[in-house]
Amino acid sequence: MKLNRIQFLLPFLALSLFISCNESDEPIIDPIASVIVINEGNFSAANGSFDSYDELSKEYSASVFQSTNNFPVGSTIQNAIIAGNFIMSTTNAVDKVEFMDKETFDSKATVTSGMKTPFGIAANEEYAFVTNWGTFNNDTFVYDDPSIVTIDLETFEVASTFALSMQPQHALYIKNRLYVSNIGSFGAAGTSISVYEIVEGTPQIEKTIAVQAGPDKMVLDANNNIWVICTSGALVHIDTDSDEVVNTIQDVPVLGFNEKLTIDPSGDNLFWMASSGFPDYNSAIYNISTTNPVLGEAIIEGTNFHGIGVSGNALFVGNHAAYQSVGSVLLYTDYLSTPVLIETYPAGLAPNGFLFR
Amino acid sequence: MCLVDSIAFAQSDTLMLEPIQVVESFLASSDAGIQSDVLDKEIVSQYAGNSFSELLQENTGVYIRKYGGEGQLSSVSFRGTTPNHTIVSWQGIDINSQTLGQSDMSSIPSFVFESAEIYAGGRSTLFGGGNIGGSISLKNAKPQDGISVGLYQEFGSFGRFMTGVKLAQGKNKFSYMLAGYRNTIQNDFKVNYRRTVYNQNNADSQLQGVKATIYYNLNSSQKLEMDLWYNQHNRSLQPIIGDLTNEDHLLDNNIRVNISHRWSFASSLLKSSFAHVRDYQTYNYSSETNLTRDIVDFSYDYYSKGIWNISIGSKTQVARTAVESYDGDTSQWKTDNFMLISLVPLSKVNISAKIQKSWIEGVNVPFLIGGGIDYKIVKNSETAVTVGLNLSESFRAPTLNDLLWNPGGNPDLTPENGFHSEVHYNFVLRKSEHELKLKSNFYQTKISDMIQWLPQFDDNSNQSVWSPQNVQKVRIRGFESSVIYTNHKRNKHYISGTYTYNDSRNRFPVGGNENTIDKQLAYVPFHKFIAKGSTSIQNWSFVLGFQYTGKRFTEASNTLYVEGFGILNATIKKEIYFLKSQLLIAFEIDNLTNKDYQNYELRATPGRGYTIKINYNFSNTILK
Repeated sequence: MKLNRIQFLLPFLALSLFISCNESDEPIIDPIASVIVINEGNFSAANGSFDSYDELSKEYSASVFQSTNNFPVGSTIQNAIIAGNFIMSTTNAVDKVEFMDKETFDSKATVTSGMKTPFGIAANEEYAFVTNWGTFNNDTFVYDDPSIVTIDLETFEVASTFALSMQPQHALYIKNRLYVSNIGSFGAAGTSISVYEIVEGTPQIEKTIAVQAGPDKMVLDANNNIWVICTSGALVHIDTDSDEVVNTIQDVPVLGFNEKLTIDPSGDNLFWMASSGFPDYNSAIYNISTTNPVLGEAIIEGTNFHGIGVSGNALFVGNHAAYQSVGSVLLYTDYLSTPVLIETYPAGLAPNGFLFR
Repeated sequence: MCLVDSIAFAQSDTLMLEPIQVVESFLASSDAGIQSDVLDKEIVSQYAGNSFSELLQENTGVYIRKYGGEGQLSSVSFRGTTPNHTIVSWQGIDINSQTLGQSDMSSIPSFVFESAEIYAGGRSTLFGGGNIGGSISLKNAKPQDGISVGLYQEFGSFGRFMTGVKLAQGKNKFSYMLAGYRNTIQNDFKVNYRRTVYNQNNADSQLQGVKATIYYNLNSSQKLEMDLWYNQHNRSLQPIIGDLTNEDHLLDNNIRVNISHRWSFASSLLKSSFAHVRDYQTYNYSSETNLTRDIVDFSYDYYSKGIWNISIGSKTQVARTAVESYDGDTSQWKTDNFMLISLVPLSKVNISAKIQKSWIEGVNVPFLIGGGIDYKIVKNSETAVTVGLNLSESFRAPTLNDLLWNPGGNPDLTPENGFHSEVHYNFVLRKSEHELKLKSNFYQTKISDMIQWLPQFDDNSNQSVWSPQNVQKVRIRGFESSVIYTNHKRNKHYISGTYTYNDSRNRFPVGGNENTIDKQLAYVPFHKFIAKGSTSIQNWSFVLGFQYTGKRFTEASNTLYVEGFGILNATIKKEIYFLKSQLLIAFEIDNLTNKDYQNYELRATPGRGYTIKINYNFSNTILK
């Protein structure tokens, strides 16, 4: 689905880049695309939300899900994707998957059955695949009963639940197969990506790919190959034809948990977040070329970075404002050379990601 | 803190236990320049089937932050401060959670207390640290001679069921009072969500316990008292709206024992007490927080024929913890000491000064000073007008969680510091059966080094963890005013209104966020208004009460908020007297207009509810 989106947007991105080179006051994002800001919300308050921002009209709309439906999301939003006509979102503190119209945010379905700390989500034409962390065990500090839950997109009912032996993180559907990063638990990090074939809505293990410890977020590059960032500090390149690891870049600065990784519209440049740790606790954003992967210095440094996204000539960074107030979105241009902060606009609580439509 | 006076129920307490005992020593009346308020016997008895959460919300200017229906977590905050700035005490024992630093008012049953004293701002600093905002002192009833029995039964909407029993006896040197209670509620009220309606799930609450007090007069000048209070609150934790699968649960068990000795001699009062407290909490049947405390308290009051008084006190406590989230079992010592001097140089002037010093293991606490003056402008048979001024310092020590939580606890924290200034104006006018009272307070509080939990990167776990820091500064300016009119004619009529305004501004960019500067603190309403009116005709009473809480921001930049809400309640009551008994039957409608509102974001609250209350009292000594 991400591939389709990228392919769909490419002509427009090219057009917008051309225009932006000649007209400095023109939109820097694809004028057809608008930005959806995923606001995670505070965990205990379950006040996640979606905002939208239209670069062409400069119109910013807060809590568009609530204003459309007259009720809030009512949970903490973990992840969201655009697939088909839907925005699909996993949430916690109500454990559920929200399905909404990608244009209007009209709520189409909510699936709570079988959801135990759902986190990642991927989809094909028929099914959505949700990675369930499971139920937190206060004695072992490990999530019990992790699983992959498959949701039928015709009925919005659970088609199958596939039990896992360790906590999954993200999912990616490509070439008729489902890739799941097995992040594992604190003190027992996972070291693999599982590849599943989907048979009548049920995942069947096809292959396990060994990677560095703590595989987390995955993205597709221009060649439909996977890049996965690991909490142990590595970027792993996986060929999706052979399902083999092609390259592993070591000693990559990372967050250490819940990694944020994205790729630009060309599919050639990865961007991810890191924290400098004690004593400064500063945030940083790094990038690397997928074709010439040489690790450089951080391209942006700051504080309280929480989400990242790239569209057109713009790099979007979500700032969580130390979780004390609504956050903000920082918009940078020239992200491949010397990023320039050109705009800051408001967001909801803890903006942790972006969708572009 | 303003307070609506007692609702006039002509003879509602005729057969109840002895009239309220408000003042233990001159302390409660000698700290000049500020006022205390009393939730008296008449008010408290009307909430016998409720917790202090409802009692305070509907009768005082304090803000109750409540996470759903009755019995759910609810905290109390004074004058624009946070719940961590309020101390709740019983028999001089701080009964706040020593790990969290606040009390859950829904776990305190009104049934077993006869009254409560409310102290806001400066005066409360006499009672140890932690009460930058204020304090609430719960008061026992003391039995009279003879035997008295009280039975209380309540039924209501949403699975409400309350049973309470009291037995008291007094004879010569010995007296006792026993009380038991069980208050259950299902909270299965309707919730509007996503164009549908469902019954609230996982919000049941059972509050039960026993309380015993024994008095023994050793001689004419020495008295012994022993108190025991066992309280259990077993409840499901109401989830946010739309969460139909949550099964969170919390079990609290509290055992509090206090033995005190009072010795009056030659214009002096010497008090000493020993208390043992056990607080056990279990979250989701497995995560345990256990804490025991031993407390020794001494105080000495000297009265010099009304010209000057002095009070000296010292309280020492050792707390021992067994908390899963701490790095092993541990203990903490602390001692609070104070001296208060009160002077009456002129008949219309009262001046006081105080000094306080606490020592807390691992925490450096400064000396605190304060003082005030009261001046009676007018004092005659019909009119009394008083003005006052008070200036006080205060502090709040880091909680045990702040210091010891693993990961994130910060042993390098310093106490929060507060400075209060307050002026007040009191006006009372009495003419024949009419009485008018007007009370106003203007105050300012500045808090520095306020503790805020912020995300930090932890090198040990290689994760971001929340850790407390002394970073926040707050400036609060506020105003409280209440007006009460009472017609004391045979058919008693009463009307009152109380308004509280709190401008509580953050003065520091929390987490480096400039958008938080000069913004109202989260969950501090600018406005709160309560009004009550009642009329009593013979043995019938009708009461109408209204409470309004203004909108509250839910985060520090004041962008997001929950709407204000106004709730209307009505009660009709009949009292019947026969033999040596009193039977009181009341019918109450809560949320008369069926208002759909949220006290805390995304926590549902009950709509219109009905309650029947039956209270039977017998005494072999008091007749109507």
